[in-house]
Amino acid sequence: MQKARPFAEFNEWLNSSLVTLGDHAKELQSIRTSVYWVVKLSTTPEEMVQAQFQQQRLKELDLKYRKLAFIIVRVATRLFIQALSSSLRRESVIRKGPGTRWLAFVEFFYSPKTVELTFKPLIAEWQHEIFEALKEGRTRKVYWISMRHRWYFLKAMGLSELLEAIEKVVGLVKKG
Amino acid sequence: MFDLPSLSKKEQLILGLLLGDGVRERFGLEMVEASGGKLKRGTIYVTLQRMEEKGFIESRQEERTAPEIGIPRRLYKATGHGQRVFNAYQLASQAMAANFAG
Repeated sequence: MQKARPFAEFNEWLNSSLVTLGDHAKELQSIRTSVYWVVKLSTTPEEMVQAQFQQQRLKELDLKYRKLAFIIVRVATRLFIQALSSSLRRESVIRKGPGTRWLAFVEFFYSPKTVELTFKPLIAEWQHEIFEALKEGRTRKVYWISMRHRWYFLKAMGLSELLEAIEKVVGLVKKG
Repeated sequence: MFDLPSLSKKEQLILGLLLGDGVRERFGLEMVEASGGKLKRGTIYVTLQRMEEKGFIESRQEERTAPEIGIPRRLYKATGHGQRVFNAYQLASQAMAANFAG
């Protein structure tokens, strides 16, 4: 099975954002240098007004740059958490098949024949339905299927137990 | 005296589904869907196990061509004995219906 790479998208996005941020930083630095010289070299009142205007613009650009950096950090954090939870979720699906614990439970209490003929086919259908839903990308349906099949499993457990008890009683009545 | 094999209504329904359109194999879930709500998912495998023990049906695990994960599903088909018992019950019920109607 091909392993999913939930971090690939996040890495790609982060790299492009950092490049954009770097470009903005360079631009800001060049503007800062030019404004410094405009302020330093201004002599006439008109030039001084112009310098003040450019200083104000520099402040605005600086604020925009900080805002952009803040947004990038926030989005990066959110994407990182999403990628992390998605990777954990995928691993848990691969690690254990649905109904595995239930099977282990009934293997302990029931005869191998009953497990083979009653419980294994039930779990096989359970897994088949879940894999079909996963193929279609319907993750919400998976929860419903699991809940439904747990109920069927409980019903099968109760009924087969009842049947075994009836058989035992019938056998005892026949014997004596 | 000849000991007549017992066949419950659910067992008759399952045999009817397995023998309905020619002799063929079916999955448990397929039979539940085809029964129109008469068979339940939680109880069908208990019934199928009992029928297999009585010799009415036989089962095998599905063959897989592509590498798949999970437990393979089980396919069921009626045996010759199951078919004979089913036919006998059909004839008996028809005869009884004719008797009661007359």
